[in-house]
Amino acid sequence: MTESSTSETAEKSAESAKALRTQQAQANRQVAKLRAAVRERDDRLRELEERLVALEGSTTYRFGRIVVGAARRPGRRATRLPRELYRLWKHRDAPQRPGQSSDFTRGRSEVFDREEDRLLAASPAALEGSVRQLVIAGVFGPSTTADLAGFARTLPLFPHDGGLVLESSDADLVLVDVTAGAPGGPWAYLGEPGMYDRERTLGTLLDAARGRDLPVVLWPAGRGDEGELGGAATAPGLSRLDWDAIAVPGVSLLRFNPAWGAERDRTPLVIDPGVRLPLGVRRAVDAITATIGARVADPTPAELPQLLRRHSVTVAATPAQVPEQLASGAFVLCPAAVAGALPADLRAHVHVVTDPAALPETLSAVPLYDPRLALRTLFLRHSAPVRLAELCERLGIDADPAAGRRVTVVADVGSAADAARLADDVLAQSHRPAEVAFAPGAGLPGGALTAVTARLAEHGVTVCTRSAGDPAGRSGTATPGEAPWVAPWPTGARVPESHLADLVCAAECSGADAVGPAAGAPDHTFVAAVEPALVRRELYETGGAPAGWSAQGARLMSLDSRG
Amino acid sequence: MRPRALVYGDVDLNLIDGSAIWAQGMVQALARAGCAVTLVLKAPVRTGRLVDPLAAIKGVTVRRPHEEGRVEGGAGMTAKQAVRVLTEIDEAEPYDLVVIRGRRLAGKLAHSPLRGRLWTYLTDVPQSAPEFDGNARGELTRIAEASRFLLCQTEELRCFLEAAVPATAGRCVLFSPVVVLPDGLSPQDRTPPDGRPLRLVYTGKFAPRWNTYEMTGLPRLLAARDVEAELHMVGDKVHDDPKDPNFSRRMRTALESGDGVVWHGGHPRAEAMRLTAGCDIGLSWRHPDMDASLELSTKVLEMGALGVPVVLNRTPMHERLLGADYPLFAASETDVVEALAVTAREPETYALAAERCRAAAAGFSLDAAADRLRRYLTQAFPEPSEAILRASRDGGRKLRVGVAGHDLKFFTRLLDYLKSRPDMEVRVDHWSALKVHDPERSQELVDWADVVICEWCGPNALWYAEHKRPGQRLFVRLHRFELYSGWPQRLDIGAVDKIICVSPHYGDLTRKMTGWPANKVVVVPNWVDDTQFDREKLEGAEHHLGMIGIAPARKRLDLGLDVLEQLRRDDPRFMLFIKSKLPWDYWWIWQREEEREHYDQVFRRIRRSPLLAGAVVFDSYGRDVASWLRRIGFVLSTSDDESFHLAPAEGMAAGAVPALLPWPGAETIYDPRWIHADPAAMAGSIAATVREGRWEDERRLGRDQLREAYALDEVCRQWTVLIAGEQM
Repeated sequence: MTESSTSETAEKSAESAKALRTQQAQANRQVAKLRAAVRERDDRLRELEERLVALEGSTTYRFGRIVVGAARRPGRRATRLPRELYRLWKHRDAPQRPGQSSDFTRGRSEVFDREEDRLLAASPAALEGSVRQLVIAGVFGPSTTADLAGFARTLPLFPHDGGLVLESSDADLVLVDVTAGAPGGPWAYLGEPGMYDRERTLGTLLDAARGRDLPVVLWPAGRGDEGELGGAATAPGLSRLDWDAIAVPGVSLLRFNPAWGAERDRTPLVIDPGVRLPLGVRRAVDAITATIGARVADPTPAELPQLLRRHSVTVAATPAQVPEQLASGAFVLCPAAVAGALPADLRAHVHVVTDPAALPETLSAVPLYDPRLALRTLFLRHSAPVRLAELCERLGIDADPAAGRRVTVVADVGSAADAARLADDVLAQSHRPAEVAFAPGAGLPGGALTAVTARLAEHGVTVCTRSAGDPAGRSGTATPGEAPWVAPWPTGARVPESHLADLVCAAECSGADAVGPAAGAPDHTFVAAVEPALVRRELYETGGAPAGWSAQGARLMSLDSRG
Repeated sequence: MRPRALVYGDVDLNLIDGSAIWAQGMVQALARAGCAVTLVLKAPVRTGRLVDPLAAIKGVTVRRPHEEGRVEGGAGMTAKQAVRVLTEIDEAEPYDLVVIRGRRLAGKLAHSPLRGRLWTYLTDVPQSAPEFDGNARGELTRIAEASRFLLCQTEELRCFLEAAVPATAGRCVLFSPVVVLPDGLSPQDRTPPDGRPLRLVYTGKFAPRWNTYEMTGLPRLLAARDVEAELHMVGDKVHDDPKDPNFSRRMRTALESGDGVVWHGGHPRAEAMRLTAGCDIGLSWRHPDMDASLELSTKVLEMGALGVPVVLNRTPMHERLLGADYPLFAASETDVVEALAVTAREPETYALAAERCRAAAAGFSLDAAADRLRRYLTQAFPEPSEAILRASRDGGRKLRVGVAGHDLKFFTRLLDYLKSRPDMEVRVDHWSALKVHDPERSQELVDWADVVICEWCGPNALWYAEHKRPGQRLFVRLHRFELYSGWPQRLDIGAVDKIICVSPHYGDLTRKMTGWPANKVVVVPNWVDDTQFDREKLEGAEHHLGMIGIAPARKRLDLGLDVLEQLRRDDPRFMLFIKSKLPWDYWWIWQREEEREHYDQVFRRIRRSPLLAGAVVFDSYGRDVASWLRRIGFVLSTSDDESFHLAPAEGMAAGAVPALLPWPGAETIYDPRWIHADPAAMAGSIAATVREGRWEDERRLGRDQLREAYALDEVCRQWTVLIAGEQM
């Protein structure tokens, strides 16, 4: 190749390269223009969406939807109409967040094409419980799930998945436990001022709940009305939100219960509430602790029940500690300020300390302390299933958290007098049975049966008849009724009104399969044989003779609750 | 040279209220910090109570727009008028900083020529997430982008704002209330009264949520506890409450005739404080609805400054201020009575409460405010450098620095610094994609700049090396991925003055893989804005592990899960919080099958492991990293490979303990004491640190190390030296 041709080639190459660069630059400019056009279109789309949201967020539009919605579903929606309209009025000036459905009654589902499709989705809850099992989705603290276990099915919601889980869940309500904001959990610092991300996420969950007509409930740390005695600083960011109910949780007797039969440490115990106590209470607790040489412990939630069971005397530093300590069978000492914040029926079961110096003499009476009365009070009025049932009634939820306490009384009734006495005793029970299955004797007039049935039904007790025979019905046939417990009724003697309450309470606390008197055995002791006063239905129907129950592995607890 | 500050508070200094006190404190603090201050008045002066003392301060000029004829009439300036007046005043002689208060005014100034020089004090922002709508977010974004600093009264407000409005992250600084005692008043040593009634005091408005009616019952309740007490009430504004129409009547009756109540009526601030100083215990106990406030009561601080202990609500903010064991927290009336009764009888408890309040108030003095402002002024106005000026092409003028690249997120803070330098002019050639740019714009930069910095050693570096002007200096910052991309091998290294790597390990690797002359490759580490990250830790953070960025798979989230599982076997309080985009948010990651398989396994494990269920939380990606790190006690780095890994360094700046696995080069960046052989060793170390109570010491050590090696000031200094062409 000659020098000139080399130079020409080089020139051509350079020109080609320059042309390529020019083309590339032009292509790059074109790409940049296209990108700009796409950005502009996205901006316009966003603006249109915001306008649509604004329209949907207008009070007029929302009012119309609420009223039309109530007209379409008169039953449940109509009862909520006043509350929804009030909420609409209250928040009429509140700004709507972009993308948020402004209607409290309708959140757009991201899972279902039509809201009605939710009705088709099978629920895992069906595998575990009854149709009326309470299902609670929520923001839970360290012990919420344990406290609700056995009374409700729980679905924890986490900051990053709460919306998805709630959307596809079959929940009855959404619960927020204030203790969820404690460090060491997924919702740490929820409710603390300045925690925008947690607050926003919770707000989105609550909106989603309302969009599905699910009530939202706040579960406060303390009892809610005793100021600093609530213990840890409650999350102020939560209490200012809009709740359908603020419900004080009841104590779980499955978790907190006496360790009957076990030897207890006589050293008094204080569960350290930390530095966050009002000054007066701090002084009182310190004085009590010093006087009686109490041990101060700081257990985890998992360790707490067992620790309480091991001590015969405890000191309650906050009102929230009282039910747990009473349920654990302890003799509970309470500073006056703490006792003053308790409801009267609980206060009656604690020892109010006004003079620590007098305590040593008081404590000498502890070996004689019988926790049964305190347990009865807790069982009837301050336990988890009772509180949950009250909540369900208040919120119009068709669920029965206390279903596990339902009892079918079985009795033989030979005369009109027997029938009347049975009705009197049943209706007087502080824990009323759900059902009565009785075998009418030959001498029972038909009219008497009808009258008793009507009288019991009037008070919500279902009556069914069974064949005459062994009242225990241990013939291998099904006993009428559906309650999980069967209580053979003692005939011929009046039964105290606390009879069923004490039996079911003992069963709930101990996990026993049958409860009843056992000759020669002290009450609340696991024994090899009992005279059945309360029996799990499946054991009652298929277990054969009671003498063989223990050998089958059934747990039997002695308790003579007949007075 | 003294910075010139223009101050406008949208406040009427004829009324002594909170906003007027703010203006007074700000002017005094700026003057004390070394600024020449010009205060612009909103309204004509009718009383010189506040204005005259300010005008008398050396270096402070008071401008009176009404008297100067800039505003007609006697009414206070509207926001629109204020914008016009401030712009006019600035136009005549520009100010270095413009300190303003008020969101509405700031929103208008965001579009004015004062944009970029605003130091905006925001108080009227939404205080809860539901209140934050698109309008508020948009306006605050514009204000943030127009502001050099956003001055926040409390840490709570700062963190809230940064999470709600990402544009504010990095610009928010704390400016706490300034408490200035009137002349003649000073803190006194106090003891509980002996032989006379306990004197309680309240100053302020009388309104239901301030519990003022309930307070009037305290002398009677204390009498039942054998404590003789008087309640001194100072103020004259009794609110009408639509929800409680009888409140004002009831309140007046209680003020006028309540047992033990002494009503002093309304008084100027100085007199109110004098009355307070004559009492024993102050009352700031309020309805729980107010506990979620993001603001701090200056009354509490004023009482503390006088050495008067205060009864107030227990809130996280107050606990951090006074200590969780402060004896005078109260929520209910019973609590208040108990606390007062005990404190009246126990001199040591009274002394403790008084001392806590006094110590807390010391952080809000004028000197403390001036110190804070000095730091911000130093940050905003670095001193010029002769070396930099010498390095400019024509000598003596500002050095022209161009920055080019497609992704400047790791360069932004340095860019801000360069722009703030009085000896530099900075222009940016922002490539729209890795390979996409406007050649004309790039050529303009080449023609203009003395120095060009290419962020990333990619096609941008190749282009600028090819087009570099004689005499121009070119720097290229290489991170990591570029080494495996092929571009460095095509770079004309002769045209490049220096390649900057972020770690010694990557410096060595670069030299090895490219064969470039060793002296061309220098190491300037990544920086951490340590002052931004230095925030108080939240309680319980020692049980919280953190990971920032978990994609792609080489970040090894699975190893982080191993650490967590082991820790939770013994202590279920350990949690892992992850701040990151999710892997499917990155199309180039999610299109790879091996990446999807990795994450499929990882997420399945999180869902199903009994130890991990509920223990791993995915927090949103965002710029509010400093605020997020307040909840983190240990930051994990479990990657297979990193060039620097900013996450543990940011964690250290935020007071978290770093925990790293030995990825190549880790020991050249981080102290080997933080590097563990494997996840089991890491878990063991974390558990032991917490169990043995060493977490506080370890995190303090980590923070000191970070400040020494990677603090923003130090790294900026290194870049300045580099740009000046001096030896490093």
